[in-house]
Amino acid sequence: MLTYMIRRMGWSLLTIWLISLVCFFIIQAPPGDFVSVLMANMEAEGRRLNAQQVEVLRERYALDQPWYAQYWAWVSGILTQGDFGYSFRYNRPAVEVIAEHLPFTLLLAGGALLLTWVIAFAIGIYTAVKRYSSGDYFFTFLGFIGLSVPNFVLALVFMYIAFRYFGMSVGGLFSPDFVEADWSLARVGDLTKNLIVPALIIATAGTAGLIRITRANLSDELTQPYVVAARARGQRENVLLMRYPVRAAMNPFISTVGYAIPSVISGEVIVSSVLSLPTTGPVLLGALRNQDMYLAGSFLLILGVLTVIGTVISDLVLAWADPRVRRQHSGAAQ
Amino acid sequence: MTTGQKTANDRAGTRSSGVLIWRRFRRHKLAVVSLWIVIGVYLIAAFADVIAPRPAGDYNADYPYAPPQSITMTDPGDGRGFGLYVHGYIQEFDEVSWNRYYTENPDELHKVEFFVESGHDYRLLGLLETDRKLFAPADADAPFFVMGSDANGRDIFSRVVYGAQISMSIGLIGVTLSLLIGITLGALAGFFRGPIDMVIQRITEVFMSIPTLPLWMALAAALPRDWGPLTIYFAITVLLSLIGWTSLSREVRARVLTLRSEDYVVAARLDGASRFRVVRRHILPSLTSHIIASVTLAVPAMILAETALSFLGLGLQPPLVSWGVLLQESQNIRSVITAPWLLIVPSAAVVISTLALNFLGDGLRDAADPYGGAVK
Amino acid sequence: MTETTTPQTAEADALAGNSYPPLLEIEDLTVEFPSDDELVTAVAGAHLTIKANQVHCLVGESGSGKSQTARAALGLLDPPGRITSGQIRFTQSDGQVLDLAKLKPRGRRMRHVRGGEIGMIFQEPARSLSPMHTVGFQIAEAMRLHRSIGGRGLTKKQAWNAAVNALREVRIPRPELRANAYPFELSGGMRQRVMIAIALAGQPRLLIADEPTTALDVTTQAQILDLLRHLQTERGMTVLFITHDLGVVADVADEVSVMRRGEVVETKPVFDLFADPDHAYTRTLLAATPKLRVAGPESAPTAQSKLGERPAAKTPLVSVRGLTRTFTLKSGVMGQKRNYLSAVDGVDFDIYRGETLGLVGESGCGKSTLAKCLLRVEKPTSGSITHRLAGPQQVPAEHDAVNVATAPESSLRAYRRQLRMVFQDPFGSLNPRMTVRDILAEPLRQEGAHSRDNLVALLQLVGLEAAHLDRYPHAFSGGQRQRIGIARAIATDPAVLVADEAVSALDVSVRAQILDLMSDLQEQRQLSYLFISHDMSTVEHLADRVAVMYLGRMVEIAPTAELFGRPRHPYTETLLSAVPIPDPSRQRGRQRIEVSGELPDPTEKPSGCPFRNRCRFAREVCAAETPLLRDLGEGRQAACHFAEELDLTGVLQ
Repeated sequence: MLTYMIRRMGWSLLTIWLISLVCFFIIQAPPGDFVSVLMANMEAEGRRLNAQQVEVLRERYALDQPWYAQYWAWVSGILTQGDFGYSFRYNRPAVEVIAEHLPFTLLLAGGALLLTWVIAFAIGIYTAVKRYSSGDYFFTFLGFIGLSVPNFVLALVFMYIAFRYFGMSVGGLFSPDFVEADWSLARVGDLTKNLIVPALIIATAGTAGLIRITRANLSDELTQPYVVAARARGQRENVLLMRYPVRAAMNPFISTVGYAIPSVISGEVIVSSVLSLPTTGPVLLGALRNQDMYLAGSFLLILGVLTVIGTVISDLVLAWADPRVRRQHSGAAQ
Repeated sequence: MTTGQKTANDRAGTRSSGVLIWRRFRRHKLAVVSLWIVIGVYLIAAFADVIAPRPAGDYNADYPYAPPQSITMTDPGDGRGFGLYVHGYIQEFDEVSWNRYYTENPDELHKVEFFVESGHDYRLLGLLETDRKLFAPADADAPFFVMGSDANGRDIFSRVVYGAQISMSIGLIGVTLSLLIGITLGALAGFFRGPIDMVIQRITEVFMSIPTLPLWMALAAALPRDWGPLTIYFAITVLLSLIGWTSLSREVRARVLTLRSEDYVVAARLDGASRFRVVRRHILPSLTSHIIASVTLAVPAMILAETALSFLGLGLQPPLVSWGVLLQESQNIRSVITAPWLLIVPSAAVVISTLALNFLGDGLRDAADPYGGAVK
Repeated sequence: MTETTTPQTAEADALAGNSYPPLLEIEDLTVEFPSDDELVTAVAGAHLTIKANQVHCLVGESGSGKSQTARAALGLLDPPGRITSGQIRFTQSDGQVLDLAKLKPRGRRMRHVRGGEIGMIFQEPARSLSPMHTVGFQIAEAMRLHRSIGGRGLTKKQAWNAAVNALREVRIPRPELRANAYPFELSGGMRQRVMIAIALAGQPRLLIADEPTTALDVTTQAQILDLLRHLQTERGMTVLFITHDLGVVADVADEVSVMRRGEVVETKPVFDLFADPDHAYTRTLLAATPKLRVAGPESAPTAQSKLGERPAAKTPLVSVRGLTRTFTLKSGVMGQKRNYLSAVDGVDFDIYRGETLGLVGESGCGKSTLAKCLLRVEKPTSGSITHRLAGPQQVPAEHDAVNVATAPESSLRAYRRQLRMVFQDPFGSLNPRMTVRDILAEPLRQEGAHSRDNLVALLQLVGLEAAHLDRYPHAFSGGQRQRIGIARAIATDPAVLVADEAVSALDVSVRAQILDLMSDLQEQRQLSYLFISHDMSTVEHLADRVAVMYLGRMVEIAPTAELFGRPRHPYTETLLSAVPIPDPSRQRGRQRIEVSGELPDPTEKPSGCPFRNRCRFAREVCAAETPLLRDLGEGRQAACHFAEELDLTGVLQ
């Protein structure tokens, strides 16, 4: 088990390294290097960098050296000082901007993920057990609609309905009374209230796929001889259903859950942009539109790393949940 | 139990598995209906010039945010005869709120005719030069907005019809590219295993771990600003496919892995078939039905990706018309409240097409693999 | 819902001369599986009476409805199956008679019957246990469902203790430890013991055993049958034993019912059935079953007369020397820990022209890997395969023999045309997307000999018709598919066919036909067969010589009659003793040789002789020195230090 964990983490480190290369490439993609862009920006604002400042910056980002040296300068900055580069748009280190918005992203994505799981699992079990019933068709259809409606359209429709019929202007994570308020139970409640709809909207996209996987796997498990065997020893139908086939169908579910994370993050970015939530989404969009590349690249890197961590956790949970994986990797069979 | 099956088998004895798959597919009513819808949407895209009453960029500055007209079947009694008519608009302008209010003008009737000469020349399918439209007002200057107009007074219906060309083709071309990458890498990994498999698996994993939309956004934003619309179109298509191949590749790899140890593949090797022949004649044919199903399911995903990118302003840009570009105009909730059809019409186009493609793909998958579909 | 039999009927039964009262009476049972296209009748008006305290065997080929009959009794039919008519009367322990056919499958009464009155064990113990729970948990569950102490249910602790005891009763060593094991950590035999423990947890009056030993090796089968017999007599239990194997029937049955196409065609006490079958189908079945007819080496004319001379006098067609195939199992963080598994471990043998060499051994002994190495589907790690298969026109001298074990893949074409394979799985070995024409043409494409006439001739050779040429494999039955597989194999006019469990997936009667076909082809074409099987009686029926493998090594090679009559290796003796002879009087008069322990993990072979830790003759030298396969004269070879001294028992008439 331990060796498995170590190996799994080793692989994810490799993946993270490759992701950082991709992010670095994206940072480098727009024409002109960082300092010249910064100078141009400042000139536009009527300010000027002196030659010494320019030199320090060029040195810091190794701009006169080949790309791998520049990459190393960027990565080592992140690793040793937590320096993700500089954001022109905010005139602050990128890391500060990220730190400000990331918690809400995690909250929203986490909520959406949770909703996805709960909905998909409940409906997946229902549709597998009641296969080819009208309820099965209804939920399958619903799932496909969730899959086919872009979630920004859902967000817009939601805003339209809220405004048109309830006269509410939706957007933001807090109601007007709470935006500037100190943290309190009421504020947390307000936040939760405002999070539910965006989380639901994000969750619609991922659930259909997970429902389908759960339904297919559980249907498979339901025909397994061990289900008949449990029945043959006189166990009650509901008990044996939850105890054996559902338990077994959990495993592929857990392993797919990891891959739901990127889709949830994607959904978060676009839904937050539409609903103007103070998460990473709108900031990333703004950074990309304004070619604020260090900020954009850093966001991408962090989102990628978080996803990898998420998948590693789901794999480890799987290993822990499935005795076949657990015992095999412990190497102590019998 | 055997006797009954055998007679059924005898009847089907000379039917290939393709025919059997098609039979199973036909049992999915929803999938068959979806197939027709998909064919319909692609036909609309192919014949957009005929179907759209106005060219994509044509505008009428007198009618910004005009609401949809209803087409009525009547005889106004002025000698134009019985037929389809639309009403003109009465406009009121509120100086305070800066809003325009439209009401139907009961006295102004414009006749709608079929295969009418519109005065806008185009080449049908790039061949036949004509200016006939499937349906359009007889009076070329009459306001004709069956699904409303946008801020510049452009006909939403026409633009959605033209948008189908780009949105639907980007899905198809993008998936074709993805497929090429996916099949090649997946088959390589599955067939040769070992280090090749290892490397390809790692690459796939990296692409699957980065949230796709932000990555797409970043790459799209990195495209040079001075590229022409057509170049951007191809660049975006390539970007979408560069990231979209991973799931196809994983699926192909898994199938090849199981297939290569099938007895009949081993038998082919022992029969003296070359490696190439084993892959081409014995492994790939068994993959096709799955690949077709996966491709069908990948097309809507790509359409949605383009729509999202363009909606955010990072994908295609005007003057190109795609559904995502059309939806850009509904980014501002104010304009959606003024003119909900800006949101509703293009969204409906997206939803109907992707829904139909998803159902179609699902039906194909079930038909190709009636017992499987489970992830192990 | 329920009816109570009047005392009069019970007495009448007793008066009718039945020594035991009926426990389960199935009357006119019909089970149907309706689907969109057709209605499949799995059981068609079956009658069956099972008396208490007996082992009642229900025999039939696949699809005869024997399993569905049993499942119907417990309301366990898979959807859309349903009972459309008939009664299943079961006498409960409290004397009440229930009609199980009328009980709600999910009702409380049926749940009480399941496990509490009737226990059931299944064909595939590996899949009948939940892989996610320990075996102790699953036995304890059954305990809590059906047992009570002083009117109260068991606590978790009590149930667990009861589970451990149950494991002990089914003779699982170290039950406290095993209770914590997951099913995949146990061997097939152990899993079936666990299933038995679960089925018996509720102390049922009737145990239904549905092909309980079919998935097991023959020595494991013998152990399980032994255990079942022991438990049956100890507990005074009734057993309904469903099987296709007449050898097993001869071993365990008191009474036998034969099913065919959903009907019970004959019911008789076991001795009568074998001695004097009434129904034509029973006779066919008995005739198709190989009987292990060998009386002893002296009176066995089979091998020699067929070949005309002793094979040793000729030069072999294929010679295998020191063939080894080792798999590396990596573990540890960087794969630095390596375990080596020698699936085939230094094997020597020869194949002569026109002979059938049988290769037997239990699962995991390496016989399939050996076949794959021989055909170079897998590349041997070391050793040599030399052959003289160049065709009749040009017979190379001995020193010209080519070693194909190390030859590059590209040079194997001619070899592979001479040495062909018949696969085990008649469904997986034919490409479902090709017609029979394409399948048969594939090996003939190279020389362009795939004209229609040629292909039709091939089909006719294996008993199929020209009309079959344009059909797809799914249109054929298992036996027909295997014929197509044979046609493909002989298409290149080979000298040797390797048949890896080629008839194991087939029903007895179909199996006999395919074996006849193989014999005919052998005679016509002077074919040699390497016939690999786990089924000793089929091998005995077909082979001229037999080779026995154990843990990757050849332990004995001998002419069939000699090997079956007087084995020279203790493992062969064990194997033979475990094979049930389909003749109750012979089977029950045999002296059984108990084999101790389980097949060891192939990665942890014992030192010296691989069989020594299960061998009843093992001495010190066996651990120290690995016995080599050595010549004992008369064309016999064995790998045992004491091959000459030991007096081992074979299968005697």
